Order: sequence, then C-alpha cells, then structure tokens
Amino acid sequence: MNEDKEGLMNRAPIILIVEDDRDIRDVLAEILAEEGYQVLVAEDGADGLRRLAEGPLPDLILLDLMMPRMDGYQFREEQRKNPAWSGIPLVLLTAGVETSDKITALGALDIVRKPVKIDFLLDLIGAAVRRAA
Amino acid sequence: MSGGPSDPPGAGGSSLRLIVGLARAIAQTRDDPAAVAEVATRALVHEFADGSAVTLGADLDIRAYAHRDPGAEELLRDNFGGMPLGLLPAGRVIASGRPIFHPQMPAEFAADLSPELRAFVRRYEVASVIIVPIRAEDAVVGALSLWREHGRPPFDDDDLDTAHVCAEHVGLALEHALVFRALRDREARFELAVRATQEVLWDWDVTTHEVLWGDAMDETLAWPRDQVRSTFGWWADHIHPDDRARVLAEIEVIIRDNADRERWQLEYRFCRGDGGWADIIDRGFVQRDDHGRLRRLVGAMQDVSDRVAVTRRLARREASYRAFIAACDEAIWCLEGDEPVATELPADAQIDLWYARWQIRECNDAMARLHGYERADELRGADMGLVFPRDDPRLCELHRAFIARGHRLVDFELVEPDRGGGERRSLCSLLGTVDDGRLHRVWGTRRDVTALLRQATGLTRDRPARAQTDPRAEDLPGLLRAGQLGTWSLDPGTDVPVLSRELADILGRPPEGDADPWAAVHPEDRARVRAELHAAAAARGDYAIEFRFVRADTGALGWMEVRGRASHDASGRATAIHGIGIDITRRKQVELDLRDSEQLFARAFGKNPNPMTVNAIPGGEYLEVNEAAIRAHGFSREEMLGKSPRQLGVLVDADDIDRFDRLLGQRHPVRDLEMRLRSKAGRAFSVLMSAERIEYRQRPCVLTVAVDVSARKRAEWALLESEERFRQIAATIDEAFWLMEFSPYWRFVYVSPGWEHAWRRAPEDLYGDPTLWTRAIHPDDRVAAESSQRDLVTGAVDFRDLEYRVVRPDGAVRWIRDRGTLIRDASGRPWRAAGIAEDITERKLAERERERLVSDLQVAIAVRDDFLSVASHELRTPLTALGFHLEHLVRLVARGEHDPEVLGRKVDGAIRQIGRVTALVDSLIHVSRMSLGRLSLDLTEFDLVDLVRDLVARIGPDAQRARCDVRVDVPAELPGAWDRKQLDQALHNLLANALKYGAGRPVDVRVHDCGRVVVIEVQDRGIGIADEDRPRIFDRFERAVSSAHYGGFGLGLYIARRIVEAHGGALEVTSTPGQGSTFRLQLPRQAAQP
Repeated sequence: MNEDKEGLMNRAPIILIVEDDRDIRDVLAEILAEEGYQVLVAEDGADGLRRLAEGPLPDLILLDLMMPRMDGYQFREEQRKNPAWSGIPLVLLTAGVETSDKITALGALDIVRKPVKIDFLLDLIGAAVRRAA
Repeated sequence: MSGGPSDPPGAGGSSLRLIVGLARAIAQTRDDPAAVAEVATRALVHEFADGSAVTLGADLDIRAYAHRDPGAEELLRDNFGGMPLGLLPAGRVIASGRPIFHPQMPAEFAADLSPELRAFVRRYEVASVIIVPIRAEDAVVGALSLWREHGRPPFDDDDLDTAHVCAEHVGLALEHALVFRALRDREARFELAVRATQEVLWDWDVTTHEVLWGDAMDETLAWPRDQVRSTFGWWADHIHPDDRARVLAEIEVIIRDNADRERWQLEYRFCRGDGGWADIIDRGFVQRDDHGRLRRLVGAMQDVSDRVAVTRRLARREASYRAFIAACDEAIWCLEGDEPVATELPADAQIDLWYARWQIRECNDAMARLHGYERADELRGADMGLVFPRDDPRLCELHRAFIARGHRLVDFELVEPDRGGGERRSLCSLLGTVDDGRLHRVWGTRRDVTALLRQATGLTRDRPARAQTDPRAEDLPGLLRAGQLGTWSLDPGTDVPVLSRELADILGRPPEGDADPWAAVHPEDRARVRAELHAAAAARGDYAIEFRFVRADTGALGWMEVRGRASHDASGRATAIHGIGIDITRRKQVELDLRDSEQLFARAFGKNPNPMTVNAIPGGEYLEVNEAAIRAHGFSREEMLGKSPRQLGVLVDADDIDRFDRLLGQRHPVRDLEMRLRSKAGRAFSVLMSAERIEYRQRPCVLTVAVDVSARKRAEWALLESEERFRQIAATIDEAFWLMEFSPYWRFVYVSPGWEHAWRRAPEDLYGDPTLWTRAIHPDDRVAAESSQRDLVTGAVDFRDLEYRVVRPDGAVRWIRDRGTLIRDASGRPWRAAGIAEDITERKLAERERERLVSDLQVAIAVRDDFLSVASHELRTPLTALGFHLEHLVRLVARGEHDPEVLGRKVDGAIRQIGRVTALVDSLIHVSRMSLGRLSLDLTEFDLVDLVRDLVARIGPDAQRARCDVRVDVPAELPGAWDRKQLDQALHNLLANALKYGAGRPVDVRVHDCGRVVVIEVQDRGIGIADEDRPRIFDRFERAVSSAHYGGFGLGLYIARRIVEAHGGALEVTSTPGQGSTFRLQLPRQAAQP
C-alpha cells in the first residue's frame, strides 16, 4: 500500500480521527501511524472542524457519532456546508444503535459498527484512500 | 333602563335582573297567558321597587296586554292614539319637542303624530314614551309601554333596546305557555286514544268543552262513531231523564271538590245507540293544573245492565216473599240469633240457648194478632220468650219434638187455654236451617184451627168420626167467612156437590138451587178434581186438591184448595165425601209469581255473561255456579260444587280471603268489592264482586256476581301511570332529558330534573331564559356549543354529540356530554330537538388519568429505548478499545517488538477497558437491585472526612483528564454510622457528574458538621440544569441533556438518591443554567437500617 500512496500523492495519506473516547482514539492513531498514515485526532465534532480549518485537509475522516458538545451528525453537516471539505470521504465508526436511515443520509463511504477487528478496519481505510485517489 | 338622573351606577345590571326576574315569574305561571302578562307587569314594577333601582318604579307605567284578551285592542287604541294592534310601532315620542321616531316606525305614523297620541302625551304630561309590541306566534298580541314624566330626561336608545328585550321575553313566555299546554294535552290524549278497551273511555277537556270518546262507544253502547258528538251536552242529553239532574249535580260537585287525580264514580242509565237503556257505572278522575284549575275530566263507562237486571229480579223475588208472608193468614215467624246453636247439644240445652240468645227476626201481622198485638213491627226484634213463654209445657213439648225430628216438624197440634176459658187449638209447623251441625234459624207457621175443629170435626184427621155434622149448620157462617172458607159434601152416588152458603159465596155461585156446582171448577181442572176425589174416597184416605175456579158472577179466576175425607158405611162403600174449601187465590198468585221469578233468576243466573256463584254460609262452598263462572275459573262444575273458593285456591291474597269471609257474614248487599282471583290455570284476574244474601234450597247463601275488570284496571293504571312514568324515569336518572322547540325562537319546552343534578340550577329557569344554557357553559367551550346549537336550529346537522364544561353557580366545573337529535316537521323544516345531557365529569377525569398513564408509559418506554441505545454505546466503547489494545499488542509482538514498556502500556490499556466494562455492569446490577427494593445498608462507624479525601484522591486521574481542579473544604474529622461502600458510590457518582458536566472548571467538595446531621456539597461551574429538567434528573435513565453528548447510563444521580434516601437523608440540587449546579447531600449522623 505504501507504493500506492506514494505513487498517487507522493506523501502519506492523512486520516482525521474524530472520536471522544480517548482509549480508542489513541490506540487507533498509534496503529494507523504505524501503518504509514499521517494521523490527525479530534476529541469531538467541534474539535474536528477546528482540525479541518487548521489544515492540512485529510484524505479520509474516521467519525464517531455519539460525542459530547458536537456529535457526528452536526460535524458532518458542517463539513458538507464547506465546499473545500465536502468532498473528503467519510468512514463512520459507531457504537450506537442508530437507525440506518439516519446514518445512510450522512453519505458515508462505509459504516463500521464497534467493536471491529483492526485488520478489517485497516483494509477498509486502505481501499477508501485508494478509491479517493 | 338607564338614562334617568337618579339611576344607580349599576343600572345595566338591574336591567338584566329585570329580564331574568321576568322570565322566572313567567315560567311560574306559564299555563295561563292572562296571568303571564299580569305577573310580567308585577315583576317589572317589583324589580324596580326594590332598593337598587327604586326611582324607576315611580315614573314607569309598564303594561302588558294579554293574548286572547278581547279588550286588548280597545285598550291599546284608547291609550296609544288609535294605532291598530297590528301596526304597533317600536318607537319613541318626545312630547316637548318635535316627535322623533324610531327608524322602524311606519311612515304613516312618522308623518304626523295622531291627535290621540298627542292628547295622551298632554294628559299624562309625559316626557317620553316607549311602546313596544309583544309578539307571539308571529303576531302582535299586546304591547309593553313605558313612559316617563316631565322633569326627567327622556328615554334613549338603550332604554328602547331593553324594552324590546322585555317584550320579547313576555312574548316568548306567552308562546311557551301555549306550546307547553298543547304539548301536554296532545300527549295525554294520545295515551287515551291508544288504549281502547271494552269500556267507553272518555276525555273531557273543560277548556275546549270537547269530549273525546273511546272506540268502545260503538261496540259497547251501539253508537256508530259518526253519530257520537264530541260535546259534553251530547252526553248529558243521553242520560236517562230520571237520572240526569242527579248526575249533573254530582258532576258539578266533582268539578268543584275533587283534587287532582282523585277518583270519582257515577251510576246512571244511558241511552244506547239502538234505543235501549244501559245501566252505566262511570268511573274516572279529574286532572288539575298546578294551580288547582280543572283541566280535564277523564272517565270510563262500564255497561252493567246485566248485573243490575239480576239485582232487580232478586229484589222483586224478595218483595214477593215479603208480600206472601205479610198476606198470609197463618202466623209466620222466624227466630234467629247472633250465634247459631250446635245441634249435637241435648235438646233442653239447645232450647235454653235459643231463649238466651235468639229473637224474633221476622213475623207477620197474623202472628201479632195471634198473640194479642196489632202489628208485626211490635214483635220484630223481641225476645222469643215474649210470645213463647219458657215455662209453657206445651211449647216445651213442641220444641223438643222439633229437635227430636231433625229440626223439622209439621202440623204439631198445640192446645192452649184461651181467654174465654175454653181451649185454643192450632197447628204449628217448624222448619230449621241446619248447616255445618249448627242450627241457624227457625221458621215457624201456626194456624188457628179451633173453630174448624170445633165445627167441622169430621174434617180433621184426628177426629174423622165427627164429620157427620151438617155443613150448613146455622152457627158456622160467621166463622167460616172470617176464615175465607166454606164446607161442602158430595154424594158419590149422585156426583152432585152440596156447597155451604159460604163456599157458594167464595165461588160466586147462587146460594140456593145451584143446578151445576161443578161448573165452578175450571173446565180444564174439572175431570182431574173429580178423579182425585173418587180415588181418595176409594182409598179411604185424606184428600187435598187444588184447582182453579171461575166465579159465575164476575168470571174472575181464582184458586181453591179442598181437603177432607170420605165417610164409609159398614161395607166400606163411600157414603159421602166431606170437606172444606179454602180460597187460596192470593197464595197461589204469590207462588206463581215466585215460580216465574225463580225461572227468571235461573235464566239470569245461567246466561249471565258475568261469573255468578251461590256460596253457602258460613263455609263459602259453591252451591251453584253459572257458565261464565266456570269459564272464568277454569274448573268444571263438578270440581267447584261443594268446595269453597279457598279450598280451590281461587282466592290467593290473605286480604281477599278475609274480605270474602266478611262478605259471607254480611247481612246487607255488598257492591263492587275489588278482589284478585286466580283461575285453575293460574291466571290472576281482578274482579269487582257484588254479593247479596239469599235463601237457596232452604239454606242461607250468598249470591255473588263478579265483573272481570282486569282489562279495565290495566287501562286505568296505564292511563294514570303513562304520564307519571315518563316523569319518574326522567326524575330518577342523572342524565337530563331536554326537549326544545325552534319556532319562532329556540327555547326549552321540557328539561328533566337531572339538569339540576349536573348544573345545580333549576330546570324551570331555563324555560324562561334559554340563554342560561349558554351562559352556564365554560367560556372556553361556549363558542363551540353555540355553533353546535346554531347548526341544530338551522337544520345544518340532524344530530349533535357535544362535550362541554359547565360552571356551576358555586364555581365547580363539570363535564357534560350533550347529545341531541333534530326532529323535523312534515315539511322537513327543523321543528324540535330532543336530547340527553349527561354529566361525564368522572368519566372525563378517568380518561385524563388514563391519558396521563399512557403518556407516562410512553415516556418510560422512550426512556428505556434511549437507555438501551446508550447502554449499547457505553458497553461497545470499552470493548472496542479493549479489542484495539489487544490486536495492537498482537501486531507489535508479531513485528518483533519486545520493549516491555511498550507492551506493558498496551496491556494496561486493555486492563483499563475491562475495569470500565466491570464498572458499567456493576452499576446496572446496582440499579436493578435497587429497583427491586433490595437496598440494605451495612452500617459501620467511620470518619466521613476520611472517605471524602480517599474518594477525591482516587478520582484524581479522571479529574485530570477532565481538566478540573477538585477543591476540598472539610472539618478535621466527622465520625458517624453509615454504609461506607454505598456512600462512597453515591459521592463518587456526584463527583463524576460534576467532572462530566463541569466544563473543565473547578469543582468544590464541602463537608459541614451540623450536629445530628451532616451536609456534603458538590459544586460545579459547568452547564447547569434547566428548571424544567430538575425534577427528573434523579429518576432512572434520566439525564438533563442529550445522551449523545455525555457518556454513562444516566443512572448516577438515581443511584445516589436511592442510597441517600436509604440512609434517611435527602439529596437536593440548586442550579443556574450556564453557571453550574450544587448538589446538597444531607445525612443523619447515625443512619439506621431502612
């Protein structure tokens, strides 16, 4: 995969993790970094938007839904409002039992229900990044 | 009526009171239009005469003119300047200046003030006048006038409006009165019409003088319908002339004196349609209105001709008996006492009892003369000892013989010394009435035969040898004439009778030289008499022959009895036949009358359509029953005869059994006793029983006639109850029935008492003022109710089902369900509506309660769903982290990573996740245990300050992560008795909450020693709690903010509260949104087991 990424962009793909649970967020960032991704982290929706505004823009966003202050839905809404951000593909990482309609409406590339095998998640991220490229 | 200078400020209010008072007064007198107008006037004046508006009374003259009052038009014309009633304007006249007219005033009056009106204004020196027409049934029926004197400000438009409203109410009341009365009459008549019975029901409406006749007029009295006139006069004209004056006088008394519903009864003869006379019993009742005025007379005519005929025949028979007894030459008497005498007693004891208890009940003049009195009356009722001395040995012998021969003795010869020193001989017969082993009475006859025996000894059976005496002996004639008898003899050889002069006189024969005495005997009897005489002579026996004779001189027919015996010679050949002849014409006539009467009675009895029976006294056994009785009772004749009604079960009620027994003991005739009988098949029927004592087969009996009145009773009851029934139903149910009419205004014509139940207002008030209905409705519901009413009145809907609240006078609010159905007239226009208004407050409250429960349940379900979603999220989160940590560890090891610090961090992370899951599961178990009420305390003595410090230390890392500074303000020590583990949990939850919602600002923990109570406060400076959320945050699965933002089950505060309460403490919160919350935990110093 390193070949692909380098071939396409000549840089490591950037992943933004928006996740309120610190344990999940930290371990996921660590693993993704080891896999060669550049990782940005945000502890809630508002933090995520701040990250987007600060740049650099990620190639993929991993988004949790239930978060304090600003949840995933609100984040996605804001993201879609900004033309510069709206094209960034999104993978939902959710522990809830939300109705599928509501989630489908978010237009995510993939929806992953917690808990999830890390290998599966990594394959998904890799494919998503390749497709975006 | 505002406008006067001295009007009180609240004049508008008094106007309203006036209208209401007027309506109420009218409602009270609604039956009488004339009274309505009068009361209306009084009410107006009265209202204005009471303290609040006293000044108006003095200068107001309010007049209302009555409907149907012939003088109304005239009065109006006199007072209001020739204005025809129909054109009565609604206007205002100002006398001092130019007349100003109301726009509605017709042009012809606007053009010029009529001279009469001018005169009126001048005469009464009025400043202004209001004349308002009163309309009823779309016609002007009267006027309401108000005028005000000079020196007062004139009336203005407001007054005019008020006057209009008043007039409208008067009109409405008049109309209502008429409609109400018509309605009531119509209903009552309908009830009558549908109940056609065999009796002629009639209904006389005294206000219209109309009489409605029932259908039975044709069937029962043979009057074809088209010949019956609906007038009282027609009825009166057909009463028998002999009865008419009496009946009309009785009716007058009934009309004057009878109370409402009081029953009356008349008896008279009424002309049948076929010309005959029917004996009528007419029963009924009067109906009066609330003021006692006669409204109607209702009756039922029953044809009792058959019964009366029987009674008359009986009376005639009785008269015959009496005539016979009175006319009889023999002495006749009857002994009877209050108590019968038992026949099994020794003869002398019986005789003693007669003398002790019995009197002469009946006797005739002959009896009186025999004992030296003049008239029978002198002896009637006397003790028997008066004429039958107790110590007379002959009488004693007579009486003993009577008893010895079974209370029947014929021709016992009594010999008594007479006044002349000779002896008096008489033949005495006694006949006793024995029933049930007791002697009830004794009839006796006694014939003085002294003279006969002395002069015609040969003619008596005791002295046949002395029969040789010449019948024409000179000393006999006087005696014989006095006895209406004569002697005669016959030589069997010549067959020519020789009559004594006396006998010739009786027979009207010539005294001398009668060529053919046989001619005296009626031709049809002659051969028989002759044959019987010869037969008697041949048989050597006594003879007694009755025959008819024809007087030769007058041709009159008579009856004679001859009796005697023949003389025989030694060879046994009859030498002569002697005898006496007695004129028995009178007795015979009586006997024949009796026979006719018996036949008539038998026919009347047998063929009578009413059940008739003859019952024995005193047992009441049936001795005879007619066909109608057999039909009515359902028993056969054989089953009935010899049994008493009680034995047959004909009488069921104890009362009726009593009455029947009394009836048997009654000496006087009994009329129309109401009784309930039961047939063999068990059918109960009501009868009117009449009874009369008669003698039947020598026994005292009671003749009864029963008229089956079941059908009539039903009709009567139905009639009486029909009106009551509706009222009772209406009165006993809580729902209010209402009936309204629409033309020309909608108003209530009937509202049942149930109205009062729900509304707490009198239904009568509604009659006068239908707006009371809307005014009582809760303001929030009034528009809907009015709109619904409009729809009904206009016919937009045919049915309404409306719920609204009413406000009772005491302010209580009740829910009403009001369902009404529109009734249209023949042309389809809305005419009336009828409905039910029921108080559904209780139901409504129950509904509310149910709705609340459902809503609570829905909330609880939503909370549970929310919790499940949160729980899922909360449990998945640490599991995900756990998975990642472990998988990362595997990947690191696989990559050859051996740094113990790196691997140890992963393992620590994994272990931390397990801790998180365990804590979550623990709290769930905790809650489920608490919700099952299983919270028990493990009380120990410990220092609360120690607990708090320990807790704050343990929560340090979390506080660090939440970037909150936890500050502690505690006393040196605070020992007490609590459950350490539980209290730790509660405080932990409070602190965790403060960190979670504390927005990174400092959190204070303070502990206060308040003696027997300790207080712990946890204060954050975070988002706070909105007022509306505060009450529910302590419930299970509740949180003040969306679960999406903050982790946890929302159980923390619930658990904390349960723990504190289990300790006997309290947990409160004060909060300002945006500035933070303070949770205040109060605990008793020494907790006890809950």
